[in-house]
Amino acid sequence: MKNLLYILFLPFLLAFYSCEQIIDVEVPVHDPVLVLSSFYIAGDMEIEAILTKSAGILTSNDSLNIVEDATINLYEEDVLIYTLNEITVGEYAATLSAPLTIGKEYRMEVIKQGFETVWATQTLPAAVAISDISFEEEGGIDLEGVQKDVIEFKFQDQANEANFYQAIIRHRDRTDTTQNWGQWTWSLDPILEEGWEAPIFSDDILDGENYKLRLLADSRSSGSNSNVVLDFSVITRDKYLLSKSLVAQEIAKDNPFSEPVIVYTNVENGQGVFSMENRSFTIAQ
Amino acid sequence: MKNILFLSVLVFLGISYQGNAQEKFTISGYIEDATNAEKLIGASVYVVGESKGTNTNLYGFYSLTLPKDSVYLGISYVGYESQYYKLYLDKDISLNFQIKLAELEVVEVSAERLDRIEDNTQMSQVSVPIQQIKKLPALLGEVDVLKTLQLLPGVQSGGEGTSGLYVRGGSPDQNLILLDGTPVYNVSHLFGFFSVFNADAINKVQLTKGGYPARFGGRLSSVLEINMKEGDMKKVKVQGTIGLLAAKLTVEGPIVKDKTSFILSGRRTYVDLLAKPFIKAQNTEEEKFGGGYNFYDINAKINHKFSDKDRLYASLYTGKDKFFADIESNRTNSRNESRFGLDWGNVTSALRYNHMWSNQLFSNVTATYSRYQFNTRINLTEEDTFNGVTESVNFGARYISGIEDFAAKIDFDFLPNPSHYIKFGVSGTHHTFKPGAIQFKYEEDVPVIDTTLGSSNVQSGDYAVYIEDDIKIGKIFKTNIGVHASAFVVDGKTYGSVQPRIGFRLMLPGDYALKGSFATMTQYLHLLTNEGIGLPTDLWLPSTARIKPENSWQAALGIAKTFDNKFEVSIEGYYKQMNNLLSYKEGANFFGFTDWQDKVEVGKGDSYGVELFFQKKFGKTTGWAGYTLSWSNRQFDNINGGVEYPFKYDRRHDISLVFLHEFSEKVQMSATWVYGTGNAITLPISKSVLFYPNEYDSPDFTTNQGVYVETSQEKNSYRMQSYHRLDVGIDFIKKKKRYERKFTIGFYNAYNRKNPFFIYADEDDNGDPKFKQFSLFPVLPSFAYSFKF
Repeated sequence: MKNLLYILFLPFLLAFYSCEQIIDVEVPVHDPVLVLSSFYIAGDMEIEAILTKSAGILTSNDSLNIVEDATINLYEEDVLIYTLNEITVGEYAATLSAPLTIGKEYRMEVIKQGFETVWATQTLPAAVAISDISFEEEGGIDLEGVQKDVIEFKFQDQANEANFYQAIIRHRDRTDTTQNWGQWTWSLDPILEEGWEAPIFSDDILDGENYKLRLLADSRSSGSNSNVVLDFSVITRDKYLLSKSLVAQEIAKDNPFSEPVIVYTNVENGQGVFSMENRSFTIAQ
Repeated sequence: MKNILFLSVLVFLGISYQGNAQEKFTISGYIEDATNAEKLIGASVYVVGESKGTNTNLYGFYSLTLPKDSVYLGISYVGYESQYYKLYLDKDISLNFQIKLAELEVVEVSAERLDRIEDNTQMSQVSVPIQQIKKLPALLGEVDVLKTLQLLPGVQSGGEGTSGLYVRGGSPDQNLILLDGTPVYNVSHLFGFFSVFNADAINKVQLTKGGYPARFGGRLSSVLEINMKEGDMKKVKVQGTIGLLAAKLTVEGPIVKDKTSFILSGRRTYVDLLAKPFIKAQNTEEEKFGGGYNFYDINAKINHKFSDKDRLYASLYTGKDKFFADIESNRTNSRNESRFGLDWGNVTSALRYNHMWSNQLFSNVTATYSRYQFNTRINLTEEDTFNGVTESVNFGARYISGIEDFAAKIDFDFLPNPSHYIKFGVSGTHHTFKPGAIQFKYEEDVPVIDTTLGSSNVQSGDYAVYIEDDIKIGKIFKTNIGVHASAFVVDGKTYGSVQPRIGFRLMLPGDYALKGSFATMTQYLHLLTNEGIGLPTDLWLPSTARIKPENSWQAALGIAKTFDNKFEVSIEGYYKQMNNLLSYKEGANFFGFTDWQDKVEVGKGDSYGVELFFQKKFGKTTGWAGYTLSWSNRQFDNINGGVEYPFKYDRRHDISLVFLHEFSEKVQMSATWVYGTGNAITLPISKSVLFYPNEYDSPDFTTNQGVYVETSQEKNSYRMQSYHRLDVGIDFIKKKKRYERKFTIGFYNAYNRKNPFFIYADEDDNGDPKFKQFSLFPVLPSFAYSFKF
């Protein structure tokens, strides 16, 4: 009987061992488009952009596809205020006479022969007030049982408008404050969402509240000469959606049953993002 | 509401008028199979030579009210010999009929029988005889009710080999699947490749795709009624099957002859037993492996007849799939143990009590319990010994989700005269939703974390009341008018819905039946699921204050006719609009700490199409051909930029051919061929590099990191290759005096079509990027040995 069962089972095993069939698939032809990457932080005296172009998915080309000799203009309320210069290949920048203005709408436009002109608009958001910040060294435990620093603080969300935030804890060198090292940051507060590089969230369920948030972050190494700094950004909806979609794409990447995730873009006729944000740094300890 | 009241009064007046016009009496009773006393559902009882008659209900009960006169009754049922009975009707009488299965050569097809497609008001409804289902070729020889239904027009499969039903552009959660009147929430074994329904324990399968009568509610796209056998009242019978994948055994018989019967049927895979030696062979001195997969299901039913007027049915289904994998390693001063487990399963049970109040009034009281639960767990243990001191770390996580229902309902059938068949009833269901909780336990010699995270259980009440009347007006017009009203109470929020239903049949010259229907449906339960394969990670969730109930309306129009009393042909067109549909947000999945309501998008969809169905039910050669031309779309504000896109299972053309032939009593052959337009998928068409600020290694926020980004075309705008497949099977039957045995040989995907399962990006031998297609099943032979005595 045992042998009979094996004989019966053999075709089943063979079937599943030989089930993979590989066939080439034809995909539609893709016309390359410009890909703009520009992230401006309120207060900066320089605005930068990196320009690349897309390629067909089956193109055997792993280079960055940098785009040179393009014209990138920055408009404030539809008035041209700067043209970015190409400072290295594919990297463009303009030194500002004064930081860009909070609440104003900016449009970045890219002109390059052989491509459709692309553009994106952003309004520079205002920062929010942080209060009641506190720090507890190794005061919390993450889900793997590792002890983490705890930073608690309150922030005032603006009522009746959609706001988006990013939070990250940094260790800032006490003597050289330009050394701001981002740390793994998370919270068990369900409002926080995984973002690309740093956690993000929207004010959907806390509109207008003076909200208290509790963050967990990697602890400093003993004897470290750094402060623990809360880097809290008001980001635009466009950066929020981009950050989320990059995470979603990463999750879906190796799952053949997952729907491909379309990475967010706010660039008309092209891809990429032009984003603005307003960061505030508060020393927690 | 005013209109409904007016309509009810009209109907009542009509009934009263007809009731008083002439002295009338009622013949009522049950129609049963003569060999085992199994009730025959949908059998017709009619007056020979007149267009008067009725059909038996789910319990084999019929009632026919006729004027005082001589009556020549005909009783017929598909596949059975017709029976005739003469009587003089001058009082109400009870008559039970037992009819015999027909020998092929003597199948008589009466032109007056009332189970012809053009006789019923109901449209968009198909029932497939279980005997036919069992004869069709099956994947790995495992007969599957749901896969047979996928061969019907308007019903599509999801992925290769899976048993999910996509009815008229709806998704599987929009199907109300009732096993003996009890909802079954997860119908998958083996990750969706087989359904949980054991064909040996089933008596009747009926699918309603549209024109829903008012007695049904709670789902948008279909109602699938599966009725278990009642058990042979006459003698004990045993039947069993040994196949490649599983073995099953069914025992049925009388407990008290002609009064109480039982049926017990069980099925279990032996994949784990057969794989055990292969897994064991991997063991070394340091590492030991364990693991396996199995599923089982058990159907049981007891049927007791107290009298001709009172019957009791108790039925139970329980089934479970279990997958587990263990690795244990023992090294000097160190021991590690990893255990992973995944199991899911349903329990459904029903207690039903039939009572015949009078020759015209029949009732059924039902109490049901249904539970679906999904568990996954992981346990990791690490023990290290230093200087004689052992330190241990334990980590455990468990994810639990499910749904549990307690329900009660009472249904009445009232047949005042041949022109009216009224059904009405009321039901209540208490749902407990377990939308997914994660239990964590972490210990380093002493507990460090022991917590439960995730959504908490949600209780809700689901109530419904309905009334419908199948009205015959003259000889050519029939209509079914009804209303289904329901309410759903959850977290202090109450949703209500009044759903009108109407269907009609108008006989045209040449015996063509023109049928039409309009139905609205409301669905208070939502399912979050992976659409790709039948993973058991289904999350059943209630409507909440934030997430509104799904609702739909569907209109259909069609023509049906039986040619030569042998060939049924129907053509139907339909349009369905669905609102408040749910979908996971892009990239969201069932794990995680956020509330499920934050993971979903709410949108809408529509589907429309034409279905053509040709069926031959009698003779040595039987089968059907179905063709569907359809469109199905979805629109979510935050998916695909808010632009409408084709549903993943939008299938423009769908063809199925089913052929069965009996060469002799000893040899039968079956073949099915299916063709479908390829599934709609989203393919990346371009790649680019985006530069994103580096938050971790960037001391001055000026460095950017290149992020590789793939950009897709519009959602579901690429079509995979079309799907087609031929399955064939041959049965060799040997009938002995005391038993019968059958040897079945089958070939799934007989011409080895490489049908697409999914497409993925890869590289060719030269390292160039390529898309490749994964095909699941090549030609698969199967063997099964069946016996019965």
